[in-house]
Amino acid sequence: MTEIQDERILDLIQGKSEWEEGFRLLTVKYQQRLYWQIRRIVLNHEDANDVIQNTFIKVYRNIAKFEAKSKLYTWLYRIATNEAITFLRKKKRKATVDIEGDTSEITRQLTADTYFDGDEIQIQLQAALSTLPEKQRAVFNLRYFDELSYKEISELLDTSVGALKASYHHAVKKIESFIKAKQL
Amino acid sequence: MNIEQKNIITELKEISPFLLSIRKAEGFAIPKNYFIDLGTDLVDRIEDHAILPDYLKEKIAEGFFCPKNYFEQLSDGIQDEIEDDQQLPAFLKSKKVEGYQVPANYFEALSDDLVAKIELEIALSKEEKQDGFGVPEGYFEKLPSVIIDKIKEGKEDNAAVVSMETTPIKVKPLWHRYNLIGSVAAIGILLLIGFQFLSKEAVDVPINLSDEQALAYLMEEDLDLEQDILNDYSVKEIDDIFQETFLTEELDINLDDIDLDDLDLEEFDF
Repeated sequence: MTEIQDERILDLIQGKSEWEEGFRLLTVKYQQRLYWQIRRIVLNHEDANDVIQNTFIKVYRNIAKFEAKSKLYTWLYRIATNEAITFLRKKKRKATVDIEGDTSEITRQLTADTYFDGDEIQIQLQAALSTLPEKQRAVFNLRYFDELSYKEISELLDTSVGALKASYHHAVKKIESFIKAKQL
Repeated sequence: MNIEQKNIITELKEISPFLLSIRKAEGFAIPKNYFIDLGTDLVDRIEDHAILPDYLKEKIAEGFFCPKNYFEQLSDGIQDEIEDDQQLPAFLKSKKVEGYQVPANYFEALSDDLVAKIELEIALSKEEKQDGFGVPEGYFEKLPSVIIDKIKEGKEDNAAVVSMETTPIKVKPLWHRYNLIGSVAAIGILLLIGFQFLSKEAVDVPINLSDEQALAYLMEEDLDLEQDILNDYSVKEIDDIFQETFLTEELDINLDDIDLDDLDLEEFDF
């Protein structure tokens, strides 16, 4: 099936009578990519569900401001990332323990999550990721899990390819050290 | 396997054979049919709450409408917001240490009091006023239009500012236009103005804010960043956003003071 063009989606959303069809097409086209991006930041499904819904509602409210200076997905990705990070910060403020810095808390959360079926090494990988700076984590996720080229990541994060390669290199090295230390 | 996947494996083999040996899976799962239902859920949520953008509101009709179940859900929504906001930032908490005090159980009772007041207001607005106070005829009918007109005026002002900000400026090298003495004088004046400006900024930082003002300020700060993203800013502008969001918190330094090209990547993890 041919993927529907962003321009067509935007036209539909901005039309009074067809916004629902346009918005539905927008969510169908991008929901999975955005969901996994969010999920890797907030980790559990319930939080990811809240964040993705808020993201799309924010997109809907502000779609008129989108002037296609960047690709539609780039804009959506930035809103979703910002929404997920804001959500985590709010959650962190409410939490009695430090969610982000405490890898044992992340391990506990993942183990207790109904919608996480990873094994020990994947839990350690997520715990290792949680120790990385936000942007470095984003670079690793986009390269390692989403298998994007550096050029694509460069467009999303607006960072030079050289800096991204360095960032990915450091992320990989840190993750390796973290997991090896846990296995000792 | 596509070319990029092969590149990633080759790269990982060089950087970390250990990580390459790990089975690549995230372990995250989702409920059955989650993505099938998500679009419908979102459309329903938007319709229920009538979360319409301004441009659609203008199109809908001349009249104003009230979202379905709006008043039934309003108090719960406000209470949730209040509960969210009760996590005060550290500097506000420190006011207690500075000698500021509130009545016993003030914060515990605050949300209930507010909800009660709002509910009373909603109830009163539904009933004919019996207390003798009145408003000019047609006041409440006209008020939304007045407010919307003000918002529109504000938008026009903002649009003017944006267009000014995006006007390209061509800068020629200084020595092409001025002689050496003129340049030195100009730099001296700029430094003086800059120093005064910075000094003024430092003095203007509001220290004695009330809690309400401080919260409003903080909310505005958060919204600024979000608004930058929502406004689909240009590459350069977005670059600034990412520096603000990611780097400043991670490095805890003033980015204006450093040249990113000079950063020691090994040291700063970026």
